[in-house]
Amino acid sequence: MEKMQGENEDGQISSADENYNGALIHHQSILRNKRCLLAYMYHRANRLQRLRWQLGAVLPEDVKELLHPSEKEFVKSYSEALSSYMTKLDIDLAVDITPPKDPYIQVRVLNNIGEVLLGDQSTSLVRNSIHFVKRSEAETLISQGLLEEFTG
Amino acid sequence: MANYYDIQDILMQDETVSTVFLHKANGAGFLDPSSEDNNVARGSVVDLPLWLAQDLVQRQILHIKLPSCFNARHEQCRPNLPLILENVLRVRKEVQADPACVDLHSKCPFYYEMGCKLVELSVDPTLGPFLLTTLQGRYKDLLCKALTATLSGNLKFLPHLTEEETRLFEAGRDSVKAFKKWRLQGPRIEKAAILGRKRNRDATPIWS
Repeated sequence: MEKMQGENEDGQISSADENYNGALIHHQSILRNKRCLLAYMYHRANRLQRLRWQLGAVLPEDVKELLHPSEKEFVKSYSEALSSYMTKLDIDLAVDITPPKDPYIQVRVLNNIGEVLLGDQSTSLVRNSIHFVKRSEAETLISQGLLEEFTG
Repeated sequence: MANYYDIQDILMQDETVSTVFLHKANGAGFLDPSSEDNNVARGSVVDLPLWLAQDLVQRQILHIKLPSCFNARHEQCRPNLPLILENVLRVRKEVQADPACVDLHSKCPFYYEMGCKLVELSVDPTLGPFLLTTLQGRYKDLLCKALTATLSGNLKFLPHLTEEETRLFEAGRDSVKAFKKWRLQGPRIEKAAILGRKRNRDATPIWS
């Protein structure tokens, strides 16, 4: 019965329909390529957003050199939008991702950074020195890998 | 369109299905390795990826044959070739006997998602319930192993899992790890994961 139906339609199908089918196949391939490329860019942009939340406004150098100029634009404007939002609310949203137990935390310095403004005083962070700092400030530095939590 | 950017969906649609063309298609001869000119003739059997086959089936340009891994007990199975029928029935029998042991990954890495797509497109009404019973049979075993897995054991059956099951397994394992870490009160703020990786190109470390 299927064959008969096919033969029936065959009489009515002109050569234009055959070309239509071929064109359709090519069109679908183009759409597929577009989808793959868009998905790749979308996931890259997602990763950059996550990096901004984890590391703060400055990206590490080896990540920066892998970015396309338009991605650098994206990072810059996303970062600006985030910081203007956070200053309007007057809190830093990127800290305290896990609920803190203590407002203060003990940290050990892993690398020499020099003078850093911690709270109201600027402290000089020498390697392997232990400090008792406020958790919100320590959090950005820990996630950048400069400090380590000291669980003595 | 919620799946448009979903990587798993994109990968899944790369799997091929065997299709029969109902109408001719000009200029698409690269799909059919046996065509001499650049055309696909009516009635030719071609292996197409699912993303292409799906659209063409909806426009009724071709017919999808259910892949043998789903056991096509289907009108397209020719009754005068009993050997093929036997091979094809074997999958369902294997699954009905013991779902937990069947190696689904080698048959099709995206077994369940592919089956779901084919349920919408093809004629076989028993495919949906069959997929459900398969997953039910495997799920309990999967969950037990995921939540009790140690680092070294339980590696033998992992290659048998499909992609979706592997994701479930890893989610279970990660949740157990996180629970143990919480229990032991490990460090709660950590260095961002991206910084730990060493790049092959640069010899200089990031933070010196």
